[in-house]
Amino acid sequence: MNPSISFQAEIIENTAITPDIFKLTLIPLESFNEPLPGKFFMLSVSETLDPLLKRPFSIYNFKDRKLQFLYRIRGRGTRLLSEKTQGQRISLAGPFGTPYPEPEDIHKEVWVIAGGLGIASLNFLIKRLLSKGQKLKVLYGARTGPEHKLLDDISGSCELLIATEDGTAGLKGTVLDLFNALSLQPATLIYACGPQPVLSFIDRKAQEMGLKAYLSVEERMACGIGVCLGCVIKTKDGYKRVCREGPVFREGEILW
Amino acid sequence: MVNLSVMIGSLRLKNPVITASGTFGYGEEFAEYLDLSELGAITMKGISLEPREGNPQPRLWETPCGMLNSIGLQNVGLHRFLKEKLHHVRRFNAPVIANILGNSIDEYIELTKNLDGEVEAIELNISCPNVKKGGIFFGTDRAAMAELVSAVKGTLKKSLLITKLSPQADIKEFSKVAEDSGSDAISLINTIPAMAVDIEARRPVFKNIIAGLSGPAIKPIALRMVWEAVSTVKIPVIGIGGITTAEDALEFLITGATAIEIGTANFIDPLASIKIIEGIKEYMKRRGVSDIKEIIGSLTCV
Repeated sequence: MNPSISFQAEIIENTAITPDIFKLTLIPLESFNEPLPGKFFMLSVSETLDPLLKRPFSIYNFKDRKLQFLYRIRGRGTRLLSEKTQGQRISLAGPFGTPYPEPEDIHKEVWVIAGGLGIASLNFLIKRLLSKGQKLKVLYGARTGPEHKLLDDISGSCELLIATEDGTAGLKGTVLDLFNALSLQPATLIYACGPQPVLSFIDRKAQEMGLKAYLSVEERMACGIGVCLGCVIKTKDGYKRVCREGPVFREGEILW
Repeated sequence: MVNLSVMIGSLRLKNPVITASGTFGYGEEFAEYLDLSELGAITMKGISLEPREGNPQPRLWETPCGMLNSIGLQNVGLHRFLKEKLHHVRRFNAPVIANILGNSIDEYIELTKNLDGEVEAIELNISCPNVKKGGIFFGTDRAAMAELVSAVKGTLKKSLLITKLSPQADIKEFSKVAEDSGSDAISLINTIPAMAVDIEARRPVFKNIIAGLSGPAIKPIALRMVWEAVSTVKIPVIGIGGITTAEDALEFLITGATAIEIGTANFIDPLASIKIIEGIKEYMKRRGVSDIKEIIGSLTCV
């Protein structure tokens, strides 16, 4: 049977990691297309018609056929999602979107820059790159110390630099303070995901220094497959769909 | 075997399930996920003479059982549609309906001349609430609509003409205008003009203030309007508005719609249209109905 694009999954785990950030683990009940780092799924938060639309969530991890997502409670939809419990079923569609391209040279250091919940999209990439022996530096900025539990255990396998806004772990500041304290080598490739000010800053820096950067952005979506045209972002080539041409864009592409 | 085929004028559809304009792109994306040949017909994203960039963000807002959109008819324009998009969707065994939009009668005529015979039908979009000029003007002014429909009909030699009505118009009056001016069929409804407010900023959510409401929330209104249309005209009526399940589709068919269009449901589940076709078949088998024509217009009111 062909892999399904729209299917049900069973909830294995849906637990709070911090008071408002949850980790959701699902086991799909049908065969589905291979998820790659940077792609996303549309998850239904209710099996009724209200809320109506599925929500896009980056793939946080994929292992042993289990899909993992990380989300912060931000509104009614994510609150409903947080109330779901082990054993319940959930509808989802995907994987959609263009993944992070892989680095060309595993010996050249690449930087992964995660601002806040941007780690939800980068965690899977970090694991993939490390499993391939990629030389890696991870810069991770969060609000507070406990949020560093969001990054799976990668200690020892790469250089990890952390910052927190309240100074409870690592440098007191943001991921940009970590970034500014380092010197970029000309060959460095950057992967980044996080709030818009982080991404636009990294984008500008990458362009100034002639570096290649892959930036994953977020936008409100209805369909996730490129037909509603609701999630467009302004680029130098006109509007592009975050769900289709994105969510990963190159440096210099987006008009912030 | 149950017979699901219906006739829209001289056009035979293998089943009454059509995908609605603006919810299915030009078919390219969906072709990855389902067999487009299984569909009754496919309606293209609205096409204008020149490409349109569409509206700035935000473009979407979720509402109870529905959503507001303010896309602003972003589209590739006639030239690129004919050159790049049409041949792709033509590979499938499903009739193609081109939804067209212009600022003037001349523009509609130009679009019609270029699309006649290239597509099985043209759906006149005269009811989009998300653009400032054109479109909706023709959908809410009797004389303007009559002039437009007659002019387009007079231009067409091969393709069928479907007029898509606005829910802002008096349906009985305007469905009659469409019929009398030469429409082969009418489709209704387009999204309902609506709005949302950001209470922190005390500003409208959308830059255009008004956006279009779609989804299950509008279904009962659409159904009432389809009822008014089928009670007024003899030409086929295509029902649109919040159809999400086979049961929803059957409500429209029983009321008298010859076919239905699936819109917002395509966003919720990419396989919605296929599931609706299957659901209609199951209903027919369960009720021992062999031909869908026995269902269409079978509503008993007394």
